[in-house]
Amino acid sequence: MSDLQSDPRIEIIGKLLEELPEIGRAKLVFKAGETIVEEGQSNDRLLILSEGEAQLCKRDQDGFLVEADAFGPGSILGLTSFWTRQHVFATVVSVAESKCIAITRPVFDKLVRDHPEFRELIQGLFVNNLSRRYHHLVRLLVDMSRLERQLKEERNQLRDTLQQLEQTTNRLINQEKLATMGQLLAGIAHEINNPVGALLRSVETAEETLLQLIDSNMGETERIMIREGLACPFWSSEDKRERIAQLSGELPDAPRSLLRQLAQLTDKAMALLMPFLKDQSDCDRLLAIFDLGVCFRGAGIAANRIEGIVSGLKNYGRSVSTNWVDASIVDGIRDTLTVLNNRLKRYDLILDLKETPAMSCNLGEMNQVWTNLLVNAMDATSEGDSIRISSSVQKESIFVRIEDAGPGIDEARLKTVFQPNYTTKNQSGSFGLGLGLSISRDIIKKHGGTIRADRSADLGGACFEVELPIH
Amino acid sequence: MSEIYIMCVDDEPDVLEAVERDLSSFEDVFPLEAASSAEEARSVLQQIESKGDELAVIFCDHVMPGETGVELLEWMEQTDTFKNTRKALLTGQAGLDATIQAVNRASLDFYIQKPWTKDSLLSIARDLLTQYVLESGRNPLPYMTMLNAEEVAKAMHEGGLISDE
Repeated sequence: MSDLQSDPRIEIIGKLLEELPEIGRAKLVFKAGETIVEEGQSNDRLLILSEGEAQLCKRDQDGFLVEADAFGPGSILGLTSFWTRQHVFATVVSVAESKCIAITRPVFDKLVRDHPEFRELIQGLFVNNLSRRYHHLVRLLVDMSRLERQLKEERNQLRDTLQQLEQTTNRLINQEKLATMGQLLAGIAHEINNPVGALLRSVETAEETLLQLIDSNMGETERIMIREGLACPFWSSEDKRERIAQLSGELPDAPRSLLRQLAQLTDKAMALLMPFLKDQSDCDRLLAIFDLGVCFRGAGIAANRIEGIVSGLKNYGRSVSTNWVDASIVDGIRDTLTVLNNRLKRYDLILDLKETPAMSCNLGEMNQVWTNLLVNAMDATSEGDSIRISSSVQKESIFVRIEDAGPGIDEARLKTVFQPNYTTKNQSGSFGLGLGLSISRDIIKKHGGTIRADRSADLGGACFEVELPIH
Repeated sequence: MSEIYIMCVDDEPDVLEAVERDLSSFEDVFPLEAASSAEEARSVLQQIESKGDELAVIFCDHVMPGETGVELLEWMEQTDTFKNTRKALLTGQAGLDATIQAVNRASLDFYIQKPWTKDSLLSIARDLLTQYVLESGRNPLPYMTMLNAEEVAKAMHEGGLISDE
């Protein structure tokens, strides 16, 4: 709205014009929406708005009609085009019914010439109008600069939000992937458990039955042979080779297949077998009975190993979707080691795990931390080199360290490695999201703990130390 | 006469024991060696070489602590004495890259997926032994009980060792 409220000068000018009979009344009325002055046209009169309201409109470069200014009573319309004789710069439209006093150029010239009081009045109006327009312009410029600043700020905020959104999305995808993997692992583990259970039971029953059969139908030697076979250790391939070489010296006529079977025997079984060496059928029978024992021992150990692996998988998988539980951090590390065993066995793995008291934690998330740190260590370390995992309890905290013999992290980068999108894995085809350490740090923070990156004093590579308070 | 060996390499003692047991029926014709790592396998191979013996077939695991199976096979391929050895991977976890490497750079002859069956392992061993013996130009007769008789007969026909007339 105009800040020029009804100006007393307008009334005087109106009266003055009425007193000039040769000019006559020059009052115009515009309805709402009617154009008072049109952009681009020439203009030969001054219009003094005495009542009503008008709007200055200008089309911008994109064709949008912009409402640039508002005029109230006292405003002079067509001021610049009248004065400069140039085409109208911007259209003025009546907003409400408006009354204007129109002064054409000849009348204006006559009034200025013959009526000094008019000259004074119109001068005052001009100055008022121009200063109002000038104030308006300055205010607009100030507003614009503020808006520009706001816009810049909002743009920065928007960019930050977008970045956060991207990270959150990646995290969610990652979590979803992990949850799916967890379900898969738990499902597979469950599926394997059933046949393994059946296998283990069958092996146990077969073993018991065999022992009973031998005990009740055969002699003392067979009784001992089968039990020696069952208790037989795994000889190392080097030991066995040595024993075969030694035996081939003692029994130069024995075929190699016999020597291999003899090399498998325990000392006690060997002593028992010696008297029967000359009799091939006795010897073969006793060796077969011993080997039966070895097979059952092997089957039992293998089934137990599968059970252990499956249980590790199941715990790891199940943990992915668990909430907060009281659990042992070290057990979680062991499950993680089981899951990663396939890759870890190619490194010189040094384990120094001390039992830790149960603490309230999200086991799945903690396991994700160990997985991230171990995978990073493996990625950074050449196969065959050392990776060390150690845990300890000091005062009220659990400390877990994962160290490697890789190239380590530059001093300058020790702090930035935890930032989202930090990755070294975009070369040579391998790629990472750069979220592993950032997610790990967030998880540890959630548990009230801290994680630090450093150089491993012992192994020379990176060292990540996690400290978790036992609440 | 120099011996022709078979060798198996696996880092898991129970697996090694089982492979050894399965292959033991060849032993009186083709002595068997077992090693629990690629490094140990190399030292056994050097002993075989120094005695002037040969290695006909190797069954080798891939993922082992230290040197991998494929690296061992590659090394053998570059060694005169073991270039002609028939090379088989017996593994549960050689990825595509490692397998391609084994085929391209170690002339892998066979890929056996764990778990294996005794029958298939024996038949593969028999075929590979037959190929090795025939290629070596030795008289196959002393080894006949452990070779693929059909293949040997065919080769002897083609080579003119036995004539129908």
